[in-house]
Amino acid sequence: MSFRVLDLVKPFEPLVPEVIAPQRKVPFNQKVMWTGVTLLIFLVMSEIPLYGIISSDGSDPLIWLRMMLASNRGTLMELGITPIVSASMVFQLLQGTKLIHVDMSNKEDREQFQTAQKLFAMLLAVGQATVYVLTGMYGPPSSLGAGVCLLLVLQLVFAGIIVILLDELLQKGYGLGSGISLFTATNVCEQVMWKAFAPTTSASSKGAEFDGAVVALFHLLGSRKDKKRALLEAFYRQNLPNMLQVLATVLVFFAVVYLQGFRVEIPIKSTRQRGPYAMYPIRLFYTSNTPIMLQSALSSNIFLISQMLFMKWPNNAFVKILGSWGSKGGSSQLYAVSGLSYYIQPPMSLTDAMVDPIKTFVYITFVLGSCAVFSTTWIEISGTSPRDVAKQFKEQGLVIAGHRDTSAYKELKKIIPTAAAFGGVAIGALSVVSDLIGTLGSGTSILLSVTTIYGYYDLAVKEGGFAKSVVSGYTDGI
Amino acid sequence: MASEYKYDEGSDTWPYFVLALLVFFMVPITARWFLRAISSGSSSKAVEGSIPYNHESLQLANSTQIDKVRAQKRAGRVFNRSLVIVVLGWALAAYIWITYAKEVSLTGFFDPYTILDIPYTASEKDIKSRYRKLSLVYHPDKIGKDLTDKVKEEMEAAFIQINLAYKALTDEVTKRNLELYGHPDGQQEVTHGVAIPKFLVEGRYSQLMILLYFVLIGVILPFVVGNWWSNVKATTKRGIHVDTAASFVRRLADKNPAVVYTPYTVLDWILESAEVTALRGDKSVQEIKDLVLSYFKRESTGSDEELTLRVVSELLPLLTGFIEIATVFKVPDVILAAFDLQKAVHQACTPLGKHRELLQLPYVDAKVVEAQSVKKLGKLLTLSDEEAGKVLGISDSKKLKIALDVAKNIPFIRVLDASFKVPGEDYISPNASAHLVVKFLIKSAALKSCPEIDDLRFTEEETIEDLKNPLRSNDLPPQLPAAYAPYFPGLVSNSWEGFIANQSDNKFIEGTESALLRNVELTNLKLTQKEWIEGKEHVVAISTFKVKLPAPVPPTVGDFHFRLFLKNNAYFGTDVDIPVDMEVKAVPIDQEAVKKAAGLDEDDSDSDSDLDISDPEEDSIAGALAALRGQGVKKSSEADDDESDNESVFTDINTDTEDEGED
Repeated sequence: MSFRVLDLVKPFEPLVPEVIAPQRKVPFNQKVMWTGVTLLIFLVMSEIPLYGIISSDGSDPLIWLRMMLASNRGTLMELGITPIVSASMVFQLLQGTKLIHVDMSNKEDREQFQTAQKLFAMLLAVGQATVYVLTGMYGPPSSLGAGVCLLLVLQLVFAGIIVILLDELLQKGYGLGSGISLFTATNVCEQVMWKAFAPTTSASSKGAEFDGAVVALFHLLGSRKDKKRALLEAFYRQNLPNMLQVLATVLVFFAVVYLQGFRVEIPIKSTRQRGPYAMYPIRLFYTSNTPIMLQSALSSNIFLISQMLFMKWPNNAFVKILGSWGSKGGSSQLYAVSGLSYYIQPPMSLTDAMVDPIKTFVYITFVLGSCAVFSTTWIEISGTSPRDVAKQFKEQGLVIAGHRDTSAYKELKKIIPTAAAFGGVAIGALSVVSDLIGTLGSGTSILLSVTTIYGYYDLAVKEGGFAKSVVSGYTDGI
Repeated sequence: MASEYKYDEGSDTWPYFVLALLVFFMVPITARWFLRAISSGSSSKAVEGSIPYNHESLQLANSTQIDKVRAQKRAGRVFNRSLVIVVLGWALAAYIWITYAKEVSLTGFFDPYTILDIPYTASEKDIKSRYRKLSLVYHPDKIGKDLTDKVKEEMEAAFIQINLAYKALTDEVTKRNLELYGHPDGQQEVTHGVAIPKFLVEGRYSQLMILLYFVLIGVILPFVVGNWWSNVKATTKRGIHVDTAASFVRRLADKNPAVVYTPYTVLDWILESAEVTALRGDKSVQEIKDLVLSYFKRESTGSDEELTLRVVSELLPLLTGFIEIATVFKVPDVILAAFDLQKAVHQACTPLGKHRELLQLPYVDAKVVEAQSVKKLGKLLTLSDEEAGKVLGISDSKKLKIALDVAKNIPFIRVLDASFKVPGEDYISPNASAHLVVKFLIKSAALKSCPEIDDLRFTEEETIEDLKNPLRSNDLPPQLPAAYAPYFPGLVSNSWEGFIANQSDNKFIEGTESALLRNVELTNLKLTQKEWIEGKEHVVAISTFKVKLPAPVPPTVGDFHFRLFLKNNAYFGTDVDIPVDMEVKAVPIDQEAVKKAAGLDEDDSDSDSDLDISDPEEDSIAGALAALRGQGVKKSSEADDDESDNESVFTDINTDTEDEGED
């Protein structure tokens, strides 16, 4: 056998920390507990501030990604799940394109692949932490001093490794689902709950008002003389989260859950084992939330590059075409004001969308189009295209009931790409709608977390409700 | 948030926060309590075929105790802990609202409507006229000269405010600023607060707060989590105690195949369970067993009557759990004994003995019944009333009438046909997943012999829904009414459970789960003997029950013999135990495929050409990916008609041969 890239990681194998896979199947209750503990560690880490930072104010170039990557500014969770996500994306791509050869049926190969991925994630964490500190995200490095700089990098890397291990813990069967989606969903849920129930108040010239929309509703109703006006204010106030946004979030939540149930069921039967038809479901959200993830990754990368270029060369014509940036309403946060970035940046509100209909039109077309394209592309990359599924059917001796043995591919070709494209458009549309009606948090992040929560619900029904084992411990033991 | 938070000094805000949280939690709790309270009310409906006697209409001696035990169970639904929580929660919410919700005057703040003193709904015209009026008073030029400087200054300041307020309501920019930042001049310094009362953080309560935090995190949190965890661990999914389940498993694993297991053995095992131990208090297991045995004899246990009933009602879930565990062990004898015990618990009669069928009727005198020769309900119902009274030992004609009515209405099963079926096929092929179709008639014990039923009435049309879910028809008929069980404290849902055993080793088939027969048409019970024997369609209802064969059909061709058990959970004499045969045939060879494979059917292959899984085209993503992996790619330019035809003919032949080889 010739030299393999994967063999390069062999010397590091004993050095990389590893979670040992459970010896036998972990019962559902214990999985719930492990998941809870993991979540608790994650939440605590995203509240612990980094030691030694001078300031973390100033424009945040990553604001578009923060919620999705479960990162929290100025805390141990500054990097969030970025290293894991990037590493797994890169390795999936490498494996999918067969650039590195890995035999997934071989245990040793599989372990080596995972080690390599983990090692890469760690390297990414080190690299990213260094870049963050040295670019002066926590104040100029010269004033921080070398010692503090090193300390900051170490803190970030250490937190990154813990997140990698937590994710591994869940993935290896101790917990439910994957760490990545769990952390993202938690982060989003936390922010939504905070915006709805925050106990903090802001006192402007209108008097003290609650930051949390639901609490504010009670407060305004209780403390204002004119109840109708209080109600209107609670629902429409612009300066802080309002009840309309809370309702919109709830609405989007249920819309996604409803649409998740949409599926085409293809009756299939086995040629080897006669019996009742099985159902092969093709969901409307065939590619789940991948298109919106890819789409937002694309646009946030464009924003990041454009913003950085604009800082350096504000007068360059090409840079200006890509996007020029300005601050809005006194805060230091930058927003695109013209150029390409402006057109793919979501409108801030419904009124914003009305003011510039061309931009709104371009934005909607861009999101829906890119989502559809990403969705249809993704089925090819991830091995869920009609061709792959038909091959799988053939290997397992499955045929579509009521059709000739050979026509499975033709039938699947009719349904899968349509479902993928349409599902991509649907999820893009949902994201646009939730951005326009103004949910608490961006449309993308809400969609991500809802699909994750629904996935967990599915899992709980499957594992917790209808499992076969009558007595826990008995069937497991034998 | 660089600015510091201010704590709530005047109790202006924190009550609202508490209120909002309280309401947020109270709404779902209240809804759940409400739904539960409603659902408990609607359970006693008269369904066709039900036997409408209970402990009250039979005037049993212990009916007050039965009522008491039942009421204790039901009270848990309406008057339980969550009702207390609901009432207290809403009371607290109301208290907070009444005490702390006070209207704050907006005079100190910039509120255009207050400054101009107009209603919120005022039109632009009103605003303008009001502004004019006020400016007539406050305008510096109009102020009376006789006023002091101080008053003058005040009025000037007021005029500025009025001007601003007017602008805020009419000018677009100012309006927007007010909306977005709460100030007419745009963004201002905003002070942040947090709705925690100041007295909790500063002053003498702060020590208390620290203590509270400590107790909350150090004591209560571990306690709650630990409690939840031990609860989760304490009961299995079916709600029986883990120790109980473990002892059942141990008993079954140590089972001696040479020993005969009776319902009394099962009773002994169950009385050792943790649940019964919790109930029995200072009584010994033997004493409890004596109580249960006297319940079976329908004798009063005096002061222990209530305890007896409570133990008996606890036996039922334990028995269900036991049967489920025993099913995993595939041992028919223990399960059949357990079912007999279950029936005895429901009917308060002996679980063993030849006269069980008669002893389950109300008012019977056990000694008289056991001394005579009639054993079956069918035989009893052929006798005249007088003779029946003698057999049962009932002298009161009213009581006899009730007893015979119960006897007539107990549903018996008369199996007409039982055969295996593979969905979509008319034979049983090796390895197929099949199910057993049982065609039967429900009959009353009073109906004699069996009507002739044409075989054609057994055939069913298989729709696509049936192919997807062959057991679908089990759910179509109406649900069985609650069982007649007057001596048992509690409602009992009646059902049969089906098991399939192998005749060769007399064990259940691997992976057996009980199949529940709960939906049956009971109209046959009301038929007269004449209608019954005629057996007309739409008069005599044929029922169907399908039991899934848990394991695939044997992989070899030949005859196999099984045994079907249908066990009723409430009535003696209604069980079914019949042999069932299965004939496994080889799959006939598909002639068309053979022809095609031999290349005799070339005409057809044209239309097939595009059905095969073709290689992806070169200039698509899929093609690029395939090329990277080193797989075949179709050149898009070369996709001429003849060439692809030739190619596909070739591939077609190729794949079909493979298929045949697999078969």
